[in-house]
Amino acid sequence: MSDSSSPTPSSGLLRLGMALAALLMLAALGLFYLSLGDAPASDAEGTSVTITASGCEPNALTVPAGRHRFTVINESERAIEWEILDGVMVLEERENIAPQLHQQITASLQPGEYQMTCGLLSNPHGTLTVTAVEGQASIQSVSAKTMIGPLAEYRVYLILQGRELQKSAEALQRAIADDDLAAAQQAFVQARLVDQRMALAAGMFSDLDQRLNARADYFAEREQDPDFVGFHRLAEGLFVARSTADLAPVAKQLSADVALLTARLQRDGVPASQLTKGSARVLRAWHDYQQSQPQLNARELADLRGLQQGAGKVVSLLSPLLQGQPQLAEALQQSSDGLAQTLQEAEPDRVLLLQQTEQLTSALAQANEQLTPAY
Amino acid sequence: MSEHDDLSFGCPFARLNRRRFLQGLGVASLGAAAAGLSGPAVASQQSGEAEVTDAPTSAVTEQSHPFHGAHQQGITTPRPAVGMLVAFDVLAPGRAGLERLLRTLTERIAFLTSGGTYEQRDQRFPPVDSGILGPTIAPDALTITLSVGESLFDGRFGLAAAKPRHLQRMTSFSNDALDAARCHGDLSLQFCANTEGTTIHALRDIIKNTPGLLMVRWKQEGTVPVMAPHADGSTESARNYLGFRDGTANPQADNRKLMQRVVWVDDANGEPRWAEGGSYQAVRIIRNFVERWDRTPLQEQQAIFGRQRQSGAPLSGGVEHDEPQYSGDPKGEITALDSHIRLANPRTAESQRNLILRRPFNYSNGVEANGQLDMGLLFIAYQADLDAGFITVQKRLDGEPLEEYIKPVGGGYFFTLPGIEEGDFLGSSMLAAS
Amino acid sequence: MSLPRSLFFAASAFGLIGLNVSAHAAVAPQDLVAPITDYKLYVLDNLEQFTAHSREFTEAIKAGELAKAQSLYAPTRVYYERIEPIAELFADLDASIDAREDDYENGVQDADFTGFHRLEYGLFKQESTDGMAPFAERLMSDVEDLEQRVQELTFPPEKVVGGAAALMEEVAATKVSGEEDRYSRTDLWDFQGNVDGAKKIFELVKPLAAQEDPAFVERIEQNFSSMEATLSHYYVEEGNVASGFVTYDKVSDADRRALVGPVTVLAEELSTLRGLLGLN
Repeated sequence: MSDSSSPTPSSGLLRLGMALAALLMLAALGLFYLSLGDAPASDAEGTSVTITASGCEPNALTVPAGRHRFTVINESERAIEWEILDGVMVLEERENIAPQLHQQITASLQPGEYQMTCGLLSNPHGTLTVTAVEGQASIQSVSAKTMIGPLAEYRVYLILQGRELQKSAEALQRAIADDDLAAAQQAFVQARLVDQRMALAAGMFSDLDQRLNARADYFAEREQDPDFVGFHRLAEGLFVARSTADLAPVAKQLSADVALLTARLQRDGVPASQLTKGSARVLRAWHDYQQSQPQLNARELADLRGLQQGAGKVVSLLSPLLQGQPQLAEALQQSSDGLAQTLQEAEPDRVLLLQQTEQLTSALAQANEQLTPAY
Repeated sequence: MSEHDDLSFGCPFARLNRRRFLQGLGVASLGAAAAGLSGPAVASQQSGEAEVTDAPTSAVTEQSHPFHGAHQQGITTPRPAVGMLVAFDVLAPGRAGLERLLRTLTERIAFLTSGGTYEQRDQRFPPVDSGILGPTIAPDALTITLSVGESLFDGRFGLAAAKPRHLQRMTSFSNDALDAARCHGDLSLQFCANTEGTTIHALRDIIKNTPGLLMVRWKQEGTVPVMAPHADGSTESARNYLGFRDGTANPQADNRKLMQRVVWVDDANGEPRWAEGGSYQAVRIIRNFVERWDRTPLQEQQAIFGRQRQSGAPLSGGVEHDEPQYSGDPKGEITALDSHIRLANPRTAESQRNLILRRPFNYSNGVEANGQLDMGLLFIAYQADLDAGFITVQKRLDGEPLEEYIKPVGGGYFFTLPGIEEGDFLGSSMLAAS
Repeated sequence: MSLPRSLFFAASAFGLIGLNVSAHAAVAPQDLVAPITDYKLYVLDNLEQFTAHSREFTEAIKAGELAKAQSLYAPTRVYYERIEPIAELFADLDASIDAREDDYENGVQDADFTGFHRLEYGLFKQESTDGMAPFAERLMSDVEDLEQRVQELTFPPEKVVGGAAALMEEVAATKVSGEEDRYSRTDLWDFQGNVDGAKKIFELVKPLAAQEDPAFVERIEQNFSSMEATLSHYYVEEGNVASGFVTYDKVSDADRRALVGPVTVLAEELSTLRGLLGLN
């Protein structure tokens, strides 16, 4: 516009230009608004996938990029989990889908090739193809910078917890090698508490999560399945059989897996969206499992303590980012504090715990919606 | 030469018609000046209501002195109201670093003295300049004069062979109480402008543009009292903080022939060829004991100086620019033999060799521990021969009665580099000669 | 984007199209997460050592072991000097731990004057541990308080990245002049601590900075190494930085000038680091 050879735009042209520019701006704002809004108007039905005893039907799905709703139908005979994986990274999951029930999952996906887990861990993975959508510009987040600090702090938290987990896993391994049941039980409790604090991070890696945290129910041969290892296997031995017999290789594997987990976390950290989504996911999994149980046992209570501590860290990091929604920020903090307070009691009320876990899960899900532009 | 052809450097507003003095010309520069005014200032001028914090206005911000020429500006250029002398240590590594420094200084001085608009950077970065004059700076009669000290010719830059003949490290005179923290330097920059904002802006610009190359060693600012122009167009010398006119006997700066003899170095007297067109700069920070001076009877003050305080006329009679008469006063009964003006310039044929061009500023720094004011004279003088000039004059002044009221505490000797033509950089001839 | 000239003009008038589009938008915010994480780990590690050394130092004072306390003064402070960009976020503790007597109206005699420099005055000027025990105890509790607070702190990225420049400003303002440790003359220890801290930050974001401006990275590295080369003249044992530094009055004028150059270049250059990485 400083080119002297070109005439100054006439006022008419200028007005036209201004009008067009205003339109452009409205269009851009509209696009931005849409990106913040709920599920796109199209494809309101979502996609259904049925889990049978042997896998997914269909075993290959193709969906458009963006937010998409999946309905998972469990036609197998036991409770299952369903996950969307990017390599070994878990992007979305729903655990504890009871037999003959439907569950809905809404996932926001970038174009690319993904895998689905399909019921039993030994079942083959299905494929999920996410196609690019014409004209769907990815709006550069305006506040991704606000997530840098919390993400880094959470990564520090994971690294420090990971170091503690490694230490206690090694102590556990030693106690079992020494056939010292009492010491092994004590080391287990400590290791498991830390493991549960980090549950959302471990849950991102399907291979490790399976080896560390999968329950016997997810294996074809249940407790007798040779692939059933990790914390639940050790708990069976230390607290049900009350013996260290046969546990040495399991403890050794656990130590190795914990080391691998900390190495992966040190290298990759966790994606921004996992802070809220992951916290909600692991709390929901605890909640759903607990609901299917007749009563609360001590180990499940201890697990929830660890989960709450991990979620509490996330809440403390993210609450300051929700200044725009003071009510949501308060609800999030209150539901986290409320659960923490109940868990301080020696024998907390199971119904209250279920209720508070659900509240916290839902507050985290709402926070996730608000924070989406920052991912 | 005779004394009455003195120049009044004291008033920049009165004498704007110097040979190399240019008024800002053209619509563009007027526009720049207008852009420099703040909105409220303009509005209040129109409405006639001035706000307390409106910027004071000046009609002379567009005055500028062309940077290029045979000599640097700021020597024979009329002295404006504000001056600042900053001495630096050169940190630049080696000759290449020194050349980079000299090129940078040249580029900054050329920009700052002609004015212009700064680039506006992405706000996440530090801004390119201090912003104290707004986005567009006016020249405001700014001159920046670059001189080099004796220490620049030590082993660091391989310049020993190029050292000007008379350049030396300042040594203490009998009345001096030199403070090492305010003496000497590898370089000096003399800043002169109509307003203090302009000199400070220029210094900060230069510091920001020379990281790792320069370190400020000491700095002294000063001012000259501004006067209303006389109705008849006549001028007078500005007064120092002792209340006396200072510079009355200065040689006439628009007499080219005289300046060639008194101020500018040429290769005739054994100076290296590259130094031609340069000059020796003597700087002295001279504290004045003003409380004590103010308690001294006027006749004693006048006897010490050798002039009337009110008119500036010599005690031998006449008006300010009349030459003092010593021939009929061999015993100093009218003008004391040890009076300041008689010692400094005995008006003999011989003493013509010792003429210097003075360009002083008054300074006021703060308060001494004893509660007395720390103020005095930032003495700056230029001459073609440092030994015959300032050093000889100061030796004659050693022991003068004025010493009871003054104390030199800092300063240094420098060689002011010759001027340059466009495309060249200050000091290039010095580098080429060694 | 190709627009008719007039449209472009109008669009830019709306601020819709930035005419002065930043050339430095390439660093994705998430790329800063790992450096900030590693920096916090670095700070926590230094704090742990700071606490341990402070305990030893303050115990020696309380036990009246003057020579031992004197010898521990500088090696303890180093850890604080390294993490100063974070430590000074807690203004109350920064004052009670590291303020100098000039910060107080009544100087050394001021009732609020505590911390390292108060102890320095006792240990090196008065050459005695008499009356120092309360200051030692206060220092230790402040240090523990600091460690606690830093552990809980989410590090603001702009403070971390900006910390590199802040440390060099610190050096330029008080280390070069030798004002920091005026009684112990251990300024060079602090100098090295500040340099270590600034360099650590720079190293962590170097790969990102290099994507934006490789020449910038090269200039910074050059100046760090020339500064460290000059500092190395003053190790107690030749070639061994761990041996510590001789007193500041041993620094020659030439070396002082040789330090000022890189310090001002680094302060100037590092002041652009935040902008280069797209931080506010």
